[in-house]
This record gives sequence, structure tokens and C-alpha cells, in this order.
Amino acid sequence: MSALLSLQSISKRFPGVLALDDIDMELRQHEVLGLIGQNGSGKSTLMKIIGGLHQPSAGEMRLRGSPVRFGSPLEAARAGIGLVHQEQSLIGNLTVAENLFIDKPTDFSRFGFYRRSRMNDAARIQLDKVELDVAPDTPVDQLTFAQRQMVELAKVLSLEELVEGHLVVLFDEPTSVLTPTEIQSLFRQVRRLKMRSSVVFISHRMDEVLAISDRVYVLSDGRNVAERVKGETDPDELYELMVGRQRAGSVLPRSNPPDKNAPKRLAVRDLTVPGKVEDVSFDVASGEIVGLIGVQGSGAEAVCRAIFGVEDSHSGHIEYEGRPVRVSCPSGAVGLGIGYVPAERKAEAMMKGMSVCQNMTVTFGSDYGYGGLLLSKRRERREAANWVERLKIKTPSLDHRIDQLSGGNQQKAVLSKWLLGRSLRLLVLDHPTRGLDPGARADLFNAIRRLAEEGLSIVFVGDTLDEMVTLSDTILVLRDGRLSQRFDDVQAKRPSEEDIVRAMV
Amino acid sequence: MTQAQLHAHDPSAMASPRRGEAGTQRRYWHIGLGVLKSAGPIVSLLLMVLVFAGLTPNFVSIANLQAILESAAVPAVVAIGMTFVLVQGSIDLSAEGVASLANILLSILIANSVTAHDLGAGAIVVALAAGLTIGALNGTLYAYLRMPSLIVTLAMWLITLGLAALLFPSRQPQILDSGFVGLALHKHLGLSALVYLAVALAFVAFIVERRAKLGRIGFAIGADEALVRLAGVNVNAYKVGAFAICGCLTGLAGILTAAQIGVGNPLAGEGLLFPGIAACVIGGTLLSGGRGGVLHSLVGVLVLVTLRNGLVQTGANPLLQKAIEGVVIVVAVAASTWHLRRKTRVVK
Amino acid sequence: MTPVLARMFPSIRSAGDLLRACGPAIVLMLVFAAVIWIAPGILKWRAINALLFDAAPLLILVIGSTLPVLLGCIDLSAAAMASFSAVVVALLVPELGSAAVPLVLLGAAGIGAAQGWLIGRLQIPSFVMTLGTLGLFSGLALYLSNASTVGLGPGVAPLDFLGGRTHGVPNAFLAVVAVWMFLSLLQRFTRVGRDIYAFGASELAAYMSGVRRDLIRSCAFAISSVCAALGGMMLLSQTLYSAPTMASNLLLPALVGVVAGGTAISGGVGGLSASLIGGLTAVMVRVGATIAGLPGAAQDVAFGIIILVAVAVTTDRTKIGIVK
Repeated sequence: MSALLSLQSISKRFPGVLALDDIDMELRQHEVLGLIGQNGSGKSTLMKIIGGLHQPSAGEMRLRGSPVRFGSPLEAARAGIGLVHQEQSLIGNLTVAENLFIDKPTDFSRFGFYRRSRMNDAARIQLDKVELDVAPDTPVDQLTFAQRQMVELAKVLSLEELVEGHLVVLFDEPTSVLTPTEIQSLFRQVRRLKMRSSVVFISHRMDEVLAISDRVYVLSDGRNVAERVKGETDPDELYELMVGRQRAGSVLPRSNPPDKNAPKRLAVRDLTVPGKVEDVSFDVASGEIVGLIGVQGSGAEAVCRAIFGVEDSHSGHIEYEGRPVRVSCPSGAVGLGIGYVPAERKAEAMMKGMSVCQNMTVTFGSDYGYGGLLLSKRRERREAANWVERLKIKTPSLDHRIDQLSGGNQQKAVLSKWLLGRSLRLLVLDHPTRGLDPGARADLFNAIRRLAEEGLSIVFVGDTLDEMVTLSDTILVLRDGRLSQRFDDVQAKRPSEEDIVRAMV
Repeated sequence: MTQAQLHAHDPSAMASPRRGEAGTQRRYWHIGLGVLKSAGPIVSLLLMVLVFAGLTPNFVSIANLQAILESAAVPAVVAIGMTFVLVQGSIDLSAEGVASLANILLSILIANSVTAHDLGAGAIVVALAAGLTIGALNGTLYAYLRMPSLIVTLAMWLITLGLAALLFPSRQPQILDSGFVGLALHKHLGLSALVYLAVALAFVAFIVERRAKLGRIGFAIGADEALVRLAGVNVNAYKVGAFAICGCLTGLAGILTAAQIGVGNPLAGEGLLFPGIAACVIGGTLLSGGRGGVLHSLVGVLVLVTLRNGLVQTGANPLLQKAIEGVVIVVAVAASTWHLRRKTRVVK
Repeated sequence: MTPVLARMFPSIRSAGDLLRACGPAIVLMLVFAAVIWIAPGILKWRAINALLFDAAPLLILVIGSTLPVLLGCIDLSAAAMASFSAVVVALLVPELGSAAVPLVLLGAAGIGAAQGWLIGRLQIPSFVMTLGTLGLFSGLALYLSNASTVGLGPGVAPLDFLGGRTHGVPNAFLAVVAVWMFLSLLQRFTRVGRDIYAFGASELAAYMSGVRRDLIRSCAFAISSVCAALGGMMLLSQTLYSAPTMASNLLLPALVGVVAGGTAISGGVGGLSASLIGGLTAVMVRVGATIAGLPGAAQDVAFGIIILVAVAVTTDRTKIGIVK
């Protein structure tokens, strides 16, 4: 097979960072090419160069044999290259048709005015390709999550009519916020896409990459470190190539099993969040790790947010350390010793532009001051430095801006914001590993495990079954907002993954 | 690992019908809310009309309706321009300065009692061009130098206000061009040309907002600018476009004021800015962008003008007028955005 | 940069940071130099003294307005609050004597706190809320004073104090310094102060970290209102009569002072010292223009250009992704 797209010695330099260092890559026709690497290894930068969002500092890109250089995504689209973004790229208050063609050179406008009927007819054709039955003039706001994903795909497929020959379709971590069901249907689309295009597929999850790709490239520190053909490798080898260390045993086993007679820390009774959760009851003992899992929309996240007091309304009883409590806002929860690490790290957990230290001391820093009124910068800094060391947070200094750290280190800094609290008894983690690479994930798990051993109770919502089974003492499975099954003593007798999945669906 | 096995148990057949149903329900609920949301300002306008009509019989009369429309014309022109900027999530504070500057430019370039110039319609063109240029400059500084629009336009407010005062000749120029002053004086069906002009502008603006790329992409920028940039759209150009429209229409408002008062006044724009923004917001155009539109803003203008008119008609203390308006602004905006309240919503 | 300096100013890491940090001070010095060049007489103690006396109301408004801006909010009602409270004091003095002053300051605190609290409860933008209260306060000031000036005799102790001098220094200016020092200490050494910055950097993340955002917003707007009311008292002490619109021409200069000092309108960046520098810049421009015999119009143009330059230089664009 001949190369559709080839990169030769591509480098990309940002101020102070060499993001890509001399990358060679080849994409053949009718091929799904997997691309894996840790956070910061340069995968996304590479995608953005191919998709025209960045321009390479050095090197050459050839498409169908002739050298190309894209100044913008629009130019890349003209050449038949489409990028499906990590986060969804649809604009809510525009119609489906407008979204489909916003990034393409079209003739649907004359003198700056849209010709609606022509645009909608063209959109209809694209929507038929992905078998989506919605009117092209529906605002995207009114679509369900799965429908939007299909529109997203149709957006890329609409390049076909504009371009002669094969397309290049880039998927930048499309699965990280999808449920297993949605991932499955995405994979069906990718396989269909292979008939008329070549695909580059990025994911953190090695099993996914292996399931869908014909060939895999491994990136590390901006270099292309390996190329493997499907069937000649396995997740363990890929993992090793990526992080350079063995995967087995990366998460330590629990040293002391949780005490069965430990006092109850949290008792949730008949928790109901309108439209999300119905009559959920469970207990959390001190030092226990309770994992919640369910497909998207099962309500696991809403349970966490209700405990922390950020759901707009909920009913039911919550008992904390033996007495009934009514948590209506985060500061109330913090006062009780409850912490929460949100799934949306960038929006809800990090104060962008502020230092690591400021981010870590915002909640409990005043505990280290004088009489609850005055702060002691010296003492809280010492405590923050202490946790930076304990959690092995890689930062040039405590005063470094948090948004300039890698995702894993950001997450650890967010976690230590709560660990600074001497009164913290319960920590709620909502998808704590989202966007983390496997190395950072293992570090985080070890930290959580150690905290539980010291008596902190943990409630967490996981992304994969693997992490549920590795970390939890108790697993609660939610389905359609109700508790469908619980598995006790997970570390002693591991439930089979089939059992858990059966309870989820 | 586990994920592959997880996929093997694809549950789509069982899970999807239920979710689909919920989605449909939510959609109807959504539409219902949508109707309520856009009807809110109209309902409050009608309520206000009913209350005032009950309080004073003179309120519902052709003459008073004409008076309301007449005094709504200039604020409407400002609000239409402002809408294009607000919908993108930015703000333009320079309205008073720009309108004053356009007013002065026009009154010293058209046939007048002080200067020797008599450019006729050319004076209108120059004044409009000044508004357009300043608007475009606002947009350029904001979009390309990445300075907050609030600051850029605050600075431009002061600069244009100063320029207007510096251009003001020693004596107040009386506008002698009878055709121009006639715009506000001659009435057809009891309404001056200003009202017809405002209505025509609103119509054009509405088409631009709904059909033109400028309008549609403007909404998209207000909803999520980062995404629009990712799509390869030249966002900065649309920003400059919106500010240019706003500047041009604000300049027009200054020109219309000159027609109304018949003299050049370096403070002609005073009182256009805050009521203009308030009108947009009362009508349901969010300061955060992405929602609302020209028609919303027009309803907002009518609410404010009717309120003023009604207060005068009912003999309320004129000194309290500002205070009542202030309260109405807060209450109207709170009511029209009440359904958006969330614990995790951020409003700055 | 030497390691010692780097440790003292951890936020300064590059030449750009240094320029951003020093930009407002450089602008102030340039303006000051220009004023000296125009009118060397300004350097005389008497002239400076008079200048500080005149500048105090504007400076206190700048300092007060800084706190809402640090949250990423804006308080458009401050100048109207100043006029309103001056009117109320003038009306209450015949009844209550000196007690009217603390009473009105207390009332301003309450009104400001209510304003901040309502912004959170009603979830309406502070721009709209304070636009509404701007109308409310100026309307009430007009109504209560019947749109006329209210005279005030001497003999009201707090006002006499504000209008007087200690060792030749205007007490009003000393009051500005005292408020600035108190608020700076509050900002640096207490939880409220730090929470204000956290709120400004990211309201949602701060809320999710347990910052009590309604409380913080109420505090910031209460401080803004009290400072505005204090500014109103200073004006009153200078003129000995109150007028319903006496401070309304301070609305824009106060905002100019805040942003010319380098406090970002998006919140979380800047501070009270920055505002003092920015406020002094605004004062110098006014004074300079007056001394040079330039019309008020030229002053406005100068203000506008200074804002553009100061903000263009001081904005750290890496901290804000999308500029609105």
C-alpha cells in the first residue's frame, strides 16, 4: 500500500519547549493508525500540525506524494484532512447544518448571507451517511449527547464531496468522555470509514488502540520511539514502550484490609436527585474506598455532587459521623470535613494563573494560621511543600503556575488541596483519572490507597472497570439512577468483570 | 485489560429506548421554556401597558403611542448596534462619546450658523464614517491586542467625548439645512422619518442576524469562542465587524439626535449608553453572549421608553424616575434569567 | 535576575513580567514628569498639599472600586453612592449631629453588602446590578434633596476633621492612607483577602474549594460602598454643601484609576497598591491638564490614551484564554 500522508523529520518548538523532535510517520491508504503516548508526549501537537492548527518548525509533510503546508484548519480541510477533537467541537446555538459546514470552504453563502435551503439539503446528505435522523436546522443544543457525536462524525465525512480521493481523518482521544456503548458505536463508524479513508486514532487506553488499529506508533517526549503492527504486540509491551517501566505491580496492594467494625462515616439513605438519581442508599466506613460505576447518565456523578452539596436540589437523608446533616453548599461540606475532586479539573478544580501553593492552600490554609483569623504563609507553605514531596508532584517550585504543570501533577496538586485539611474525613473523587496517562494514574492510585489506610474514607467514580477493581473495597453499580448491585470485599474476592458489566446495563 | 470485554457486552439495545424517551421529554420541556423565555419581556411590556392604562386614561391614545415610538427611535438605533457586540459576549461603552462626536461632526459640516462648511449629505457620510472607524478601531484594539472590550471602549468613550468637545466651535452651531432638520419635523402618519428609519434598520439588522454569516458567527462566538477559532474561522474579523456596526449605528444615533434638537451639542450622546445596554439586557440579550438578538433588544427599548412615558403620564415624581428605572432593570433581568439559576453558574 | 530578588518577587520570571509589574509606576512617573515640565511650581509643598487635599475623594473611590474588580465584577454605583451618602448626611446632620456620619457609613456598608449578596442570589451580572443601583442611588439623591443643594454649617466633628490638617498634611489624605493600609493588611494576612483573589482567578474553582462566595462578594461590595460613602463625606467636608450629582463625574476617573494601576478587569490580578498608583496617575492627569490650562476635553482624551497604554502594557495575556 502506498503512503497517503507522510511526515519527514517534523519538529515543533514552542517557546522553551521542544514539543516534537524529528518525527517520521507514514499513513497508508485504508489504514487505521494508532498513536499512543503519555500526556505531554506530543500526540496532540502532532495532530494539530496535520490538521493545520499548528505549523511545524522544521520538517516536511507530504500528502499524496506532494509536499503540503497548512496555514489553517480550513486549508487542511480543503486538502481532505478532518480532525475530530478531543472535546466536542459543536457550537450549541448554531444549527446542525451550520455546524457541519462552519470549518469548510463552501458556496452556501452569497455576499455574506447564507442560502439556507442549499445548505440544509447538503447537510441532509451528510446526516444520512451516519444514519442520523434530525432536521438540519435543529439547534445543536437540542440534541442528545450521542446524536452530537454522530453530527461530529458527519462533519468530518462531509469532506468527501469537497475533496478528490482519500480522506485523512484524525481522532484525538475521542473516547475519553464516552461510555462503553458509545465507544462501541464509534468503533463501528471508524471501521466503516476505513473503506474510503485513512484514520489516525489517539487514545490513552491501550486496549482500545489495539482493538481498532492496524498499526501503532508510540510517542515519548516528542520522539517516535516505536512502531508495532497489530497482532505482534500486547498492551504490556506498549505500556513499557510508553513509560519505560513494567506495568505489573504498579499499584500496591492494600496493606491492611478495612476494619469491618470501623465506625460508619457516611450513611446515605434514599438519596434522590430529580432526573438523575432515585432512592440510592449506602454506607461508607472510615478507611473504606467505595467505588461507584455506571454507564453515562447512571447518576454516579450526581451522587458525588449531592454529597458535596452542589446539586441544585436533592432529597433523602445523609448521616455523617452518626448525625444527620444537610449539606447545601461546598463550604458547608468542607466544614464537616468532606472534600471533592471534580471531574472537570480545568473548570472546577484549578485556579488558572495562580501558583501551585495558592491552589493548594485555598481551602485549608487558614487552619495553619493564628486563631482562624490571620494566615501564616510560612507554616502553610511548609505544609504544602510537605505534600508536594509526599505525592511526588513535579513542579519547578511552589510558586509555579498550576496550569503550566502536566495533567497528572495538576490532579495531584488538586488532591493535596484537600489533604492539607487536618479535619478531612471523607474525600469524594469524581473521575479522578480522567485525562491522566497510565504512569500518573498509578501514582495517584497509590496515593489514594495510602490515604485510605490512614483512615480517610473515599468515594470515587471510576472510568474503567480495571481501576474500580484495583482500588475499591466496595463497588456499587448504578443503573438509570438506581443502585443495581453491590460487591463487598472486592480486594479479597474480586468480582468478575462480566458480573459488573451485567449490573451496569 | 477490561475495556475490550466491556465493549463486548454492548448494551445499546436495552439502554437506548429509555434514554431516547427522556430526551424527547426534555426537548419539549426545553421548547416550553424557550417560549416562556422569549415571551417574558413582551409579557412584562403588556403588563406595564395595562397598569399604566388603568392608572391614566390618556396613556392609551394614538398621540401617546406616537410619542412613545418617537422617543424610542434613537435608543432603538443604539440598542440594535449594541446587540451585535453583546451577542458576541463583549461590551461597547463608547456609545455616548461616539454619538456626541458624530453629532458635532455633522453639525459643523452641514449648513450651519457657525462654520462656513456646507457638505449637505456629505456631512452625514463623514459622521457615519467617523462612527464606523471608531467602532472598527475599538474592535481592532480589542481583538488583535487582546485587551478587554470594556476597557478599550471605556477609553474610547473618554477620547471621543474629548474630541467632540475639542471640535465644538466657540458658539453652538445651529443646523440650517432644512431638509435634514425636517427628518425629525415632518410627519407621515403622525410619525417622523426617524421612526421609519429605526424600523427599517431593525428589519435589516434582523435579517443580518439570522441569515448573514456576520450574525450567525457572532452568536457562535458568544456561545464558545474557542470552538469557533478551532474551526478555523477568522474570529477577529467578525469581532471587528460587530464593533464597526455598533460604532456606525451609534454615530447614526448621534446624527438623529442632531436632527431632533437642531443644534450641535458636544454632550448629545449623554444618556444613550446605560439605557441602551439596559434595554438589550431587559429584552433577554445576555451580557455573557450567545443569546438574545435584535428583536429582544427592541422589546427592551420599548419596555424602558414605555416605563418613562407611563411615569410621566401618571404624574410620578420625575425626580424618582431614575430610581424606579434602576429597580425595574434589576427586577426585569433577574426575572428573565431566573430559569438559568444553578449553583455552579458563574455570573460576573 | 538575582536569586534573592527572584525569591522576593516570585511572580516575576521574565522581562515581560517585570515590565507588566512596573508599567503602571513608569506611566505614573512619566505623567508626573510631564506635569513638572509644564508647571515646575507643582513641586512646592503647598501645591502638593493642595493636590492631596483635592485628590483624596477620587483616591478613596479608586481604592474601594478595586475590590469588586479583583473579583472580576464591577461596581458602577460607587460615584452615585458617594453623592447619595453626602446628601443623606447633609439631611441628617440637623437631626442627629455628628452621629449622622458613622450612621451613614454603616448604612452604606449594609447597602453594599446587600448589593453583593443580591448579585449572587439573583445571579445577575454585577454590571447590570450596579447599573440598576446607580440609577436607584442617583434617583434617591435627587428625590431626597429635591434636586437642590443642601448647605451644611461647620461644627460636625467628623467632617471638620476630614476637612482639616494634621501637621500640615490634609486629614482626608491621611484617611486614604489609613484605609489603604488597613485593606492591604486584610488582603495580605487574612482568609477573606486571599479568597478574593481565588474568587477572581476562578469563581467556580474557588466555590468548589469551599470559598464562601456570597460572603466574599458581599464583603467586596460593602467595602466598595463604604469607601464611596467616605469619598462623599470628603467632598462634603471640602464644599460644606451637598449636591445630588456632586460625585457623578468621578465614576469614570475611578475606573480609570483601577485599570491604569494594572488591576485586570477579568479579576484575580492586581491589588490595592496598584490602584493607589493608578489613582495617583488619574489625579496627576487631572491636575496637569488644569495647570497647563488645557480644557477638560483634552483631559478626557489623555485619560483615554493612558488607559489604553497602561492596559496594553500590563495585561498578562497568558493568564486569560479568551478576552471578552
